[in-house]
Amino acid sequence: MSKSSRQALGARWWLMRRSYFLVFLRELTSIFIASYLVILLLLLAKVGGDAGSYESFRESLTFPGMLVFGVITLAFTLFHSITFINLIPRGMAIWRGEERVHPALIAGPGYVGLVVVVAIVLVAILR
Amino acid sequence: MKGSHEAFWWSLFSAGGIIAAMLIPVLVFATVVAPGFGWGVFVDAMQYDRIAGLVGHQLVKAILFVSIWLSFFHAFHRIRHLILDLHVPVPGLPLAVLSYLLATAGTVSAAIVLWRI
Repeated sequence: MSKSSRQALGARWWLMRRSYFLVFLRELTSIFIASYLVILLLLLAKVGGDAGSYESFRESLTFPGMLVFGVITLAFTLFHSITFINLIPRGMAIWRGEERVHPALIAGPGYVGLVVVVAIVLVAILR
Repeated sequence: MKGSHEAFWWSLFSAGGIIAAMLIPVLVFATVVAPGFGWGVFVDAMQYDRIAGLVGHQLVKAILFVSIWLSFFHAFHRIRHLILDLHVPVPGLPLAVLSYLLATAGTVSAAIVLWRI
């Protein structure tokens, strides 16, 4: 679905089809990414301060409301990961001679990269 | 000229999209969700001394800065287009300026915050 189609269909284009709704959800992931980045910045700012203010901020992250926000944010950011990696073959068509390389062979390394990055981050945090 | 500007923002959007796709879910999980549920290893991992030791490393700071910078540009580029797609009656240019100013503010904040660690 192109940008011009969305403009032509009006403000409620995202309610017209399931596929449009998924596009809308994909765009909505940006709000959760930006929101989490702000939380991450606040956490890092507390690391730069003293241990007491860091621990009280960390405690506030365990409040039920924050936990609900965290779970929803995790779901949306995972949705972003899947949809963005799946978009890579559209933006990067690779040709082998006359034949276009299958999209799965282009998106596949993206998922491998995701697993590797997750493993590195977990090892760095948990070691 | 407009096209080249759009290509510039698009390249930041794409790079940020990939970095956010790889990094943000695991960070959300490790810093908010898992400690929030009280999962021991993650609660211990988030203690001040351990986190300060980890993010105090210059390489980790550099990775965090680039990740936050590009992810902010990705997010605000997409938020800008979301607002336009929802036909919110705001003029295009001020919306673009505000979006990229907010992304820049987030980036500058990240630089200051990481510098102070």
